[in-house]
Amino acid sequence: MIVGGEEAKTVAVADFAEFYDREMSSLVWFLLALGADADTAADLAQNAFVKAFGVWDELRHPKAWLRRVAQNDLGDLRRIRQREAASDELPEREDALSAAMAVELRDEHRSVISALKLLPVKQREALAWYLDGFSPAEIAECLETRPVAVRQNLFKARRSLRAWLGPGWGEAR
Amino acid sequence: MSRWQADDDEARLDALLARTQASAIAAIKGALDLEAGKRAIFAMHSAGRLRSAVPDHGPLAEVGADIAMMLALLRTCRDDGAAHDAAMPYVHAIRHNLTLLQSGLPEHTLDRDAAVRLAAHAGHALREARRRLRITPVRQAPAEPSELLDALDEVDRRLQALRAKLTHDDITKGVSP
Repeated sequence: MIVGGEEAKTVAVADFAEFYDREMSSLVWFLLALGADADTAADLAQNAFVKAFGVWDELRHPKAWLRRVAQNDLGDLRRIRQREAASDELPEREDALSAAMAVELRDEHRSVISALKLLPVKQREALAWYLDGFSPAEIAECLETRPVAVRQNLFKARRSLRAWLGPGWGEAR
Repeated sequence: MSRWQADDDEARLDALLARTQASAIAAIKGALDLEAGKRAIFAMHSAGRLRSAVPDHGPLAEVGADIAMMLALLRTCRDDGAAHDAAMPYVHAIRHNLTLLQSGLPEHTLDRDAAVRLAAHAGHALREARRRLRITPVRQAPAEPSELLDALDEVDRRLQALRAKLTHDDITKGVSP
């Protein structure tokens, strides 16, 4: 069935709303896994959705598109901060979302998030995409690199995480 | 380490990462106001201005991206103590004026004079924030206000470029009567 005019717009808005409900929290997590603080992650995720809605009916792979936009915006923000700062990390801030996560998350999960932030950027990116269900080939396409590079970064990231998490990791249930 | 041991480690790491991701997403979901987030997006794109309000290219899109970057820079400053506190009311004023510009420009509800005025107010608040940072005695740490100062320097550079664009380029055309 072909829908047009106002009806098509209503369908698009409903689609978008459903997508937003499903993906917003995941996108914030994705940015956290990339090393953003919680409030910055929420802002950048919202910004990516604002951009997505503007081109919603043209997006073929909105989940990947959103992550690329958000990752690029985070990179821009980092580059500006890095001009003056030696660290590649955005500053940590205590905000409402961070506070909520501090209450909700177990120590083990907080340790994992802290360990993710210690990874080199390329490894962190590969792992963040992988955790969101993208294959190495898909990640390579999104990040404009080769699948073998993605696999190497995933391997190194996982090896580093195992080392940093120390003895007994992953045993708590 | 045997192959079986390695496989077991891989599986345990996958499980730990999956649990962390699920817990974090649940916590985020509980803390975010998704309805308010959607309302904000729909409000920005309301009244059939989906295409014209937020263009992907062109001077207005560049200005929008620039303002978003300035707001992000001001949001990511650490709380640096006494000098930071003295400057914060002015930082809030910068944010307030930039936010009005950010919403008013794509909606075409600001004419050039109003946009220039808001940018000037932001510039005034920025100068005052820097002055406060410099004159407030630093008691807690010698490098106390540097991060916010750096951010303000960058915002100042961008704000000057923005004011030039607002003054000389016709980016407010199409303003509602």
